[in-house]
Amino acid sequence: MSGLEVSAEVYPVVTRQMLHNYANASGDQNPIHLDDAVAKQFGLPGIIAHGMLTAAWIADRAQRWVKERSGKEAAWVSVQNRFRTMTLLGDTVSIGGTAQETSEGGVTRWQLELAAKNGRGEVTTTGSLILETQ
Amino acid sequence: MTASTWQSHVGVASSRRTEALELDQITTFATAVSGPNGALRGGVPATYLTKMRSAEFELFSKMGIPLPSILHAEQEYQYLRPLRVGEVLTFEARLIKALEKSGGKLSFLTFQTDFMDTGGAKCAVSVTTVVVRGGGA
Repeated sequence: MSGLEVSAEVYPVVTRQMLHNYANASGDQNPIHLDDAVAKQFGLPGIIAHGMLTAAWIADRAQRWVKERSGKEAAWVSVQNRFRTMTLLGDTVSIGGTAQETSEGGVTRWQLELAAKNGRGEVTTTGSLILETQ
Repeated sequence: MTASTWQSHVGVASSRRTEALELDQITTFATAVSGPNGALRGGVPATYLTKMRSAEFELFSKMGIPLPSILHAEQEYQYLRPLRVGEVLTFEARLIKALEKSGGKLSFLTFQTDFMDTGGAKCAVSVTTVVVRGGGA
């Protein structure tokens, strides 16, 4: 079965304020996302973005794509992300990939394989997502 | 500590915790993860259960792993049914796997958190894999 295209969309540039907001909203106050000195102490180039922030963006892309395609709000079945390389301050990621649609008994299952790529051509994070619409 | 040291922690559970999927916190989260088309509204965001990692953090602490030494390697959420805004979940985490790579320099630890609803039914599962650098400290 061939894949449907999920066109790439560019997500907002990573800023210090964004990471502070995400840390507060998510409860992940790990200092490697907030404090450059601590990040460097632990071998990082400076603060890095939370992997789960990119994961949230990947889910955003998937949910919006299914809504555009089906006209319906989808329910989440599963989400799986792999964090491959770090996202730094000033980075932007572009998120896109492929999808498959299967229907049975009035329920449509959407399976998306998405990747977030940074401005250096690297895949930072991948996502396999399954949603359902009725 | 190396992964082989952590083997003794495999299967040990965190304490049981209870948290609600509160609308105002969900709204704050949705705003913080807004993409180019603004914040998504309605329902519980796909990655919202990342907010309920306190059970995992308790295990990191119990295992003596400093938070800044941890990098997130993989994250999975499985939903047995859609979660409802306002509902209350009870959850606990356990270490399910510990793997050593690069001659002990890296340890991959996998934690599973089961989320139950107020009826005691499992409604979601989180599987988190983290990599801890510097084995043998």
